[in-house]
Amino acid sequence: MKISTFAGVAASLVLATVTFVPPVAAQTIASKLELQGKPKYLEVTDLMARTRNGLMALNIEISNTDNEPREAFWRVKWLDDTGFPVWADEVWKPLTIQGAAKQNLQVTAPTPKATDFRIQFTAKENSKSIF
Amino acid sequence: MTLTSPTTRLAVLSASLLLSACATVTSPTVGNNVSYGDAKAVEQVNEKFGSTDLQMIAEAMARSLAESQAGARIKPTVTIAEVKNKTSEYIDTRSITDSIRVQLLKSGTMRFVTDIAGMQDQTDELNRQSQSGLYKKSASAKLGKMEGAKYRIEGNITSIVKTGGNLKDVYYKFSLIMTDVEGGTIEWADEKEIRKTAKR
Amino acid sequence: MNRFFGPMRAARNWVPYWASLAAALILTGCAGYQKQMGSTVDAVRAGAADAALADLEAKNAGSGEKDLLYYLEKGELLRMKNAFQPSLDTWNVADEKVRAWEEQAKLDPSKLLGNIGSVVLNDTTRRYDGRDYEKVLLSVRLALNQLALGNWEGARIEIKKMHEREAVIADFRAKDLEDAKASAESKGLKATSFKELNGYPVETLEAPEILALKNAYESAIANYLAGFIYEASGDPSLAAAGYRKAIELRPNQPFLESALAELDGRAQQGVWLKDPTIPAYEEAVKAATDPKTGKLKKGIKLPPVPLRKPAVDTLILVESGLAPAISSRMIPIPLPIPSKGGLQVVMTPISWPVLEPVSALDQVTGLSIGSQATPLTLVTSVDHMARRALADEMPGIIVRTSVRAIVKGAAQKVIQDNAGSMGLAGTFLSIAAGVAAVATEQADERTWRTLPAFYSAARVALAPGEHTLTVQTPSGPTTKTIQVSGRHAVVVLRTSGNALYLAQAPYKPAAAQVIAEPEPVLLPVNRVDEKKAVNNKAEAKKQDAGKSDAKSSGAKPTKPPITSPGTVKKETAT
Repeated sequence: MKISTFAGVAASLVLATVTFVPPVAAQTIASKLELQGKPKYLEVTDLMARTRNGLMALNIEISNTDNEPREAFWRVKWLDDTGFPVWADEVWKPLTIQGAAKQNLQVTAPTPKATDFRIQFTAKENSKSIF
Repeated sequence: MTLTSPTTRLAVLSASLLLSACATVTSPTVGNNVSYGDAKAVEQVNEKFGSTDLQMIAEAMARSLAESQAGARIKPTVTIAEVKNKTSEYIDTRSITDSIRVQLLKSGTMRFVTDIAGMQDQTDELNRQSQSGLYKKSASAKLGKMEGAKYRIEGNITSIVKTGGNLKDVYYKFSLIMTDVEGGTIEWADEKEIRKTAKR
Repeated sequence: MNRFFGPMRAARNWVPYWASLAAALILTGCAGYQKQMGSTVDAVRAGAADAALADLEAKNAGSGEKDLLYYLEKGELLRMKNAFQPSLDTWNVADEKVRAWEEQAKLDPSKLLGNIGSVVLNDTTRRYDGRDYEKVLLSVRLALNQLALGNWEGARIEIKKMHEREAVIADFRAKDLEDAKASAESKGLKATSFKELNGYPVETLEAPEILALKNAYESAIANYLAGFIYEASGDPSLAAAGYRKAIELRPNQPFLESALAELDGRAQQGVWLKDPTIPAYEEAVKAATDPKTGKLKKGIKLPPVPLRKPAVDTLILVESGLAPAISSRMIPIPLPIPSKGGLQVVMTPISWPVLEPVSALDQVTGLSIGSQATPLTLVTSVDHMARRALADEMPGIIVRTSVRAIVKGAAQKVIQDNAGSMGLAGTFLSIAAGVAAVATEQADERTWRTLPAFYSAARVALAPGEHTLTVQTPSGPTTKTIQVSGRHAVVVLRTSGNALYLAQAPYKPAAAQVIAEPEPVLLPVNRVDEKKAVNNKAEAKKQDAGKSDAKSSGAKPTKPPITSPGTVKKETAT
């Protein structure tokens, strides 16, 4: 899936300040997201990245716009400067967010080689079509 | 049947045309009764300890450990002792510690010395190379050079299972600690919790 | 009610007729499994495994596909004859059938559950899928056969299959129970508990020890054996689960509890023979140690370091008795039968399965090794499991049988109502229909009969080599010679009548000799250089010993080499 496909989706997402160390500045949350379907109730509302002791650390904030607890699955693809993956596929992680709540996910890169990332995110309930 | 008769030839020709034109490319498979799934997919078959739990625990623990040692100038030597299974489920904890070790080795943050389970084979091989007299001196392992572990990692997994009505709730806690072998101090500890709820 | 008992009363006057008709019907129909297996079981009881096998083969001589029970019974008889490989092959066929059931239970349970609504089929004509405890114990017996062949890896695989099977059954039964309940409610049937069957021997299913079981398929013996096999293959984390489950299933048994409590010690230190000189030495060291510094006081001469001898961690399983038989018992129940005048409650005689008692004498209580009496613990009673299984199955059986009886009863009612106008011939017809309804209905008596009823066990640390075991059988003490080698051993004794069968892993004299090398007792003392030197030498020896043993017995040595005196705990002989 190409990220550019999701440009439209990106616009609908709240933009937040990304303090992003390497390599490029001023990226949108959307450019770091690989959504599989358009989440009906869930949104990535904040995304921060920094490097600690050579390892990249992410803080992802997910918001539930619904009143019911909603489920999603997520994982991170770790890339190097050139966009090559530097780590094998992570396991998909299940996630439950309570109604009208925000949840922070913290994750650290497995290897210092990771300098960039993509968050793969799939909500259990998606809007009918994203196209 | 010969290919001489015009009708036959036509039939063969059309058949071959048909094949080249319409047949779809087949995948390199034998039979189609089995399908290969995504090994990283979230397994939700039942509330028992499963592959996703194993992978999530190993990942969380390996990341946390790597983070604790990131930035260290010398990669510490570590050995993984046993992770005790305190549940009454048949959980192969060695499979979890194997995954943790693989991830830490790949990340390049730690070095592992032979653990207790592998010690027998290691000492056998070492004795054979150094003492049997069969090997070239210059290219065989010498005694007294094995490295001791700076840290020892051990832990346990516990569970709380509750059933009420048509609900079954399972809570797993996997805790790991890393002890400085020389000083006996606990240098790192972390735990991963998993809650699963199943409806009957 | 009266309408029904009328013809019954008439039937008493026609006993010869009734008997001959019933006999004819039984002959043409299938004889109950109890009856069919009678002579085979008698031969087993007499200790004649060969005769029993010949008998079983003769009864299943016909062509056509043999059912699960045939393979279960045959495997057991072959095992008695110590024909472990043929027994393994036979049981593997049975296991294949159980696995097919498992697949269905996992993928399409509704198909199996559909059986509950099956009205046309008599219980005895349904495919025999095996009772739940039989499926689980089949894995246990396969594992024991693998052990008898010296294949610990194979035993480990069977044990893994065993607990996976338990999980499949647990899932399936959860669904099954719900379905049975819903089905009974939808049919408007009131009596779905055997307690409501007036005249049913309730006590055969209701003893406290039967109700105390967690379920009908998980057994302490299966899980304990799993623990032992996992421990022997160097997987203490899996072994712990096995022992813990065994304790949950049979609480307050020191035999089971000590297996878990001492697991860590055994995994780290190995198992050693008790040496009477060790406590004295320990005392001397303790007395010579300065309690403040933890170091030895100067100028005190210690006695020579005693040598401890490695032992074979031996599990002795004693199997006895035969799983209980199921017989049919006729008990009438009131059923709503559709007739000309609407629904009428008619007492309908139905044949119900009843578990026969097993002889308490079959339980083996006394075991001695050499001259040493060794306590035996009853770990699992298959008798109780069978009773619990039937108690759990009864609601389903009652629903199935009742629905079928209603259908048949409706047909019978028509004949009865018209009997009066047909004179004497009509009465005959009526009786015949009644008898037919009775005689064609037979409870499902099928059950794995040659399975042992009682599993008792003892765990001892034995010196490698030969030992004599004496078991108290009903006909007096019987002795067998066993040989143990390697780090772990499983010895299985089975009594049957006066016969005592023995199954043990092949003996490896070389392994027994290597492991028998003694080594010094290590105590946590911060000193004594000459002792360290001794230790190192012993270490090297021990590693060699462990290695060659592992190769020969197939079991991995679980005892790690002790590298620093600081990590060594006290003497651990059990």
